[in-house]
Amino acid sequence: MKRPALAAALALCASPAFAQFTYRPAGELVTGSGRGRPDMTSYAPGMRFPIESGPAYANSQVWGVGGNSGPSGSQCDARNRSYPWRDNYCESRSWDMPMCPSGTGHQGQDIRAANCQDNVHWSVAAATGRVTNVGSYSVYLMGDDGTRYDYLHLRSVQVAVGARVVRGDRIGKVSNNFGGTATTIHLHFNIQRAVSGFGNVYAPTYGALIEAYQRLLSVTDPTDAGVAPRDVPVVLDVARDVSIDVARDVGTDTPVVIDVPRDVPRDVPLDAARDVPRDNGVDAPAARDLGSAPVDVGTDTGPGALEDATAEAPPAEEPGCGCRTPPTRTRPSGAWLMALVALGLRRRRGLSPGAPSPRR
Amino acid sequence: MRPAALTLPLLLLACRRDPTPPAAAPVTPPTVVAPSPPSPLAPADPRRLRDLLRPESRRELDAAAVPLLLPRDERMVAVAVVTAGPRWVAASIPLADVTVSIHGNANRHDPTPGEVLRHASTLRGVPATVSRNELIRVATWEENGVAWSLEVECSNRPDLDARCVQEDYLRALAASLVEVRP
Repeated sequence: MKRPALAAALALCASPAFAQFTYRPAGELVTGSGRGRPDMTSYAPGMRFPIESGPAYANSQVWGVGGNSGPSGSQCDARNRSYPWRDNYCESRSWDMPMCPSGTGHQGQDIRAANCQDNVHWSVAAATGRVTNVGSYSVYLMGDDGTRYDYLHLRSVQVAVGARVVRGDRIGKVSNNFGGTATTIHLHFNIQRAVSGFGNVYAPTYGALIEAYQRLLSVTDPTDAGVAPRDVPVVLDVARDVSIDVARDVGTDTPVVIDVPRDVPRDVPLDAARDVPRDNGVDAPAARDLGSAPVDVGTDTGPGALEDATAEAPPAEEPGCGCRTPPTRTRPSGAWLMALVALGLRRRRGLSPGAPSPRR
Repeated sequence: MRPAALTLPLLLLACRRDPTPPAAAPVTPPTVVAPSPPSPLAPADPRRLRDLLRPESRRELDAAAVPLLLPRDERMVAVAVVTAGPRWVAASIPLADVTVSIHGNANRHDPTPGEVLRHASTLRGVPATVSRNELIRVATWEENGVAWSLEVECSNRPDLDARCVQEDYLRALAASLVEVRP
């Protein structure tokens, strides 16, 4: 190939418009930050990602750079805004959390927006429903199916109690509002659901967020909106009493790697078409276990994932920047360019910071 | 009198006085705002509480399939904003420096197979979990087939406000709840 073409391919792949979305397994918290729950179940199947546009980064604000328990530095440090995502549901806290292996922990997931600008990035309705409470630093949205979504630390809140919102409507802007108490600029996001014989629980958010994020990021490339490439499955145990070894080397496991376009502006009808089923007078729809049910986002990492993956054509991983080619889909005309990109970038820059190489 | 005999009573007298605080580094105690528990004088008449709701909230309640738990305190009921969905009901009560919210949800799911969720406390005579969501005081329990959540969010330094630092206010509120039907 001629050099200019190769250079162009490399430049395209290395540009910020493309990045690898990777995530650590559910339940794998920052070492020393507690005992997570290895549960990839999507407790809010079809949920809209709660920040309007990507990229966004799910990780711990306490154990991240500049956090109370994290490495010293600024909350704006690039390490806080890089993949892979990391679960922080059940991260060490003193208060009761019945679904956490230790019985205590963090209720939801911290999510940072594309950059650390305060009061700029919109959070949006994860589902169609009604706003049931607006506190000084929280907004609660009750979906039509009875799933509640909590947004904390917002400013510029655009909704009032009683307002009916449609999936994707703007709620408020990501900030550090905490009633005068210090925190970083992030969205604390909870999913709450009712459980028979108990009451309401803060359910794990990670599986639903991953699913929703992939849907969000795929929308600018319609070819990625269907079946996405599958990666090496990470078998996760959803049982409460099964813990993961939080002390293990974070660099040895296999993150799920998916290539996604980066600057995605808004949700699209494609996303809305998969809205949460409405209440029909019977029990609310069960949570979707990404580990066993067929999903369209290609990140099945639970038991059965291998079977699902092999039922379709296996993903063709391309060397280079880690780009993967969906196996059964006609690629756009520029796909060959991305393949070339892959060749060069792995040599030039490897994977994104903090993302270990996929295990082959 | 010998000097020693005079000195001893004086010393004993001095010992009875409060000691002078040591000149150690000052410790600043947290500023704890005194809680304002719900008024015990409010009536427990559910019909009256319903009538105290704002018209739009009353309409929401009347359309709700789930009865609502409301505090006995009339002042709270008068400012409550009620919302309802097909199988849930909620009330948001904005007060000075604190927001109280109540959610009742009949869209119940089965627990994860093999998982047993246990409460560590009791409220209203039933097992309950009393916890926090960040600095928001939260409680949850099940009552008459509905999953309930009660939350107290302090707007001004929630880390110092007794209503959010301690459980007492939340517990008092939970105890004061009255079931109000359409």
